[in-house]
Amino acid sequence: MTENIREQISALLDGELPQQDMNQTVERLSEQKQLRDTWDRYHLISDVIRGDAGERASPSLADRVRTQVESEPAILAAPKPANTTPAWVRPFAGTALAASVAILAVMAAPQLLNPETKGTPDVATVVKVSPQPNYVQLAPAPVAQGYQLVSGTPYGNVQYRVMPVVVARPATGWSTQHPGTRWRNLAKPATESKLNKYLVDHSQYATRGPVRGVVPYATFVGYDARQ
Amino acid sequence: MLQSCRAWVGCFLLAVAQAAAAGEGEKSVEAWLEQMVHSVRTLSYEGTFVYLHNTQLETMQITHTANDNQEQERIFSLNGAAREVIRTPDSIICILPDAKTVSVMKPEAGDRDFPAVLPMNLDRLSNYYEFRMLGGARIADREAVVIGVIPRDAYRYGYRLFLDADHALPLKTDAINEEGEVVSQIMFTSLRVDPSIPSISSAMQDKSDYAWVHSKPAQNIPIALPANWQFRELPDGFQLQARTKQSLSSGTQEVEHFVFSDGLATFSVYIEKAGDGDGLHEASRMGAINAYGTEVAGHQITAVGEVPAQTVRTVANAAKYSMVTASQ
Repeated sequence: MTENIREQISALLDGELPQQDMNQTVERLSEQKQLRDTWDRYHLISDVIRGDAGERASPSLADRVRTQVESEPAILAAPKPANTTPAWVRPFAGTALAASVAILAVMAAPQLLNPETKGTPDVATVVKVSPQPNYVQLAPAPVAQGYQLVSGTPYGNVQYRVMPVVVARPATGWSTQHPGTRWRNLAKPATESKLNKYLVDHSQYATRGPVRGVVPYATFVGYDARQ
Repeated sequence: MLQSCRAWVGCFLLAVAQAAAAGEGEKSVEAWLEQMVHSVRTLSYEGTFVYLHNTQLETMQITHTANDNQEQERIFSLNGAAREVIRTPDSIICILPDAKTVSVMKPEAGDRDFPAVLPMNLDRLSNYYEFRMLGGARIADREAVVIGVIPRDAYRYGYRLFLDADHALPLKTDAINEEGEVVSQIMFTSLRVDPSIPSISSAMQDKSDYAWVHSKPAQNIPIALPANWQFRELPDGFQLQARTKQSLSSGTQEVEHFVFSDGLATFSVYIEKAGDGDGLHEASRMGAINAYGTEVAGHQITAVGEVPAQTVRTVANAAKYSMVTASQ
């Protein structure tokens, strides 16, 4: 196994693989057992870094990726049938999600960083907006506009890494105050105040339930002062 | 010979011990949930938890005591305004330093069930949820078992419960919506279970300059009594749990209140005469809590609860008015 394919798997996992390499990498991943093991290992590492590795890190995720890819060749993000178990129910370590979900999650990562995009990204969109190649070869090439050099040197025949320049958005919502309203879409303070009364009253009953003991009060205690 | 005999005995004992351990480890999902319900109410514990909903993060401290079978609970916000709620068998006290207000809610004399705890009826719940062991984890430096409470339809949230392996207290609770997204999380960052935690002392000192609001208790109405309001086409499994008539603030008109529950998820429907223009006429949301309001027969209908948006919408739209004659 070459270092190159390892790098590509890692990049795929990080959602940083250039679009033109993505298909090929996924294809190779689904063909070769050894690569799938690598994928699993990287996935576990990534989980550990993110802090959500459980005890049940499944060694067979990539195998499931292959099975899933084979069974759903065209539409990875197919709407889930009513009777399937939701993905979150599967062993929670995150390594045993349905393969399509796992792939989607990996590929959607850059998408999630884009504040303009909302909703569940489908694969087609994700591929379309996947980031620019992040390894630029053959310097001294000027760093493309909108990108900045974060490591490496722009001179010499080396690879160096560029990152998109993210322009800070206007500083709305950066005050120490919470946003004035925590109920969504409510324009009128009187409506909100009424809803709050309902909620507090409802809490008495909701806390009688066996599981949710703390939540309604927690909602209330933490409630924004500016009502 | 003797040595090998010893080895055999050793092996045998080891096997027995392992079998015993395995038997212990195989506690059923149902047993875990029952223990959780019991522990939450009967143990004395204190700890700090974070509550994440949408992108809002709160930190709170909880003290729960169960001395002499008297349950007391104090939840105290560690960020922002130092709000707190104290729950005792005969009152709910909300202290709001930001509004310099203490609100006291007391149940009606004779309402001994206050605040009653619904038993967890797993048989009934299993019609609407599936329970499943999902594995193990570590939360707040404690070992946890992970249980999935998976809804069978999209009218209720699912829950992922991380229960303390020793006490079955929920160290982490994720509420998960119909899209599989986590809509709220509660997670302990520290927890101490200790029967010697003293009962909550009065936090009422230095509150003399506060406005004290005594909420008029809700007037409970027997569920069986015919109501002017009927709810047809309720989502599966939700049953009327309580009914009250009350004014939520002094001097305002009466509000009819209906509480529905499937045994786990609970929502309320509030009905009052429309006209003040402050009613909710749309969908709104706060974390995992959804609300939906509409007007029916000159009345404002507002449904609110920790259920998916379509549940409150369905219910608010299911309200039908039909005058009940006095003779009934």
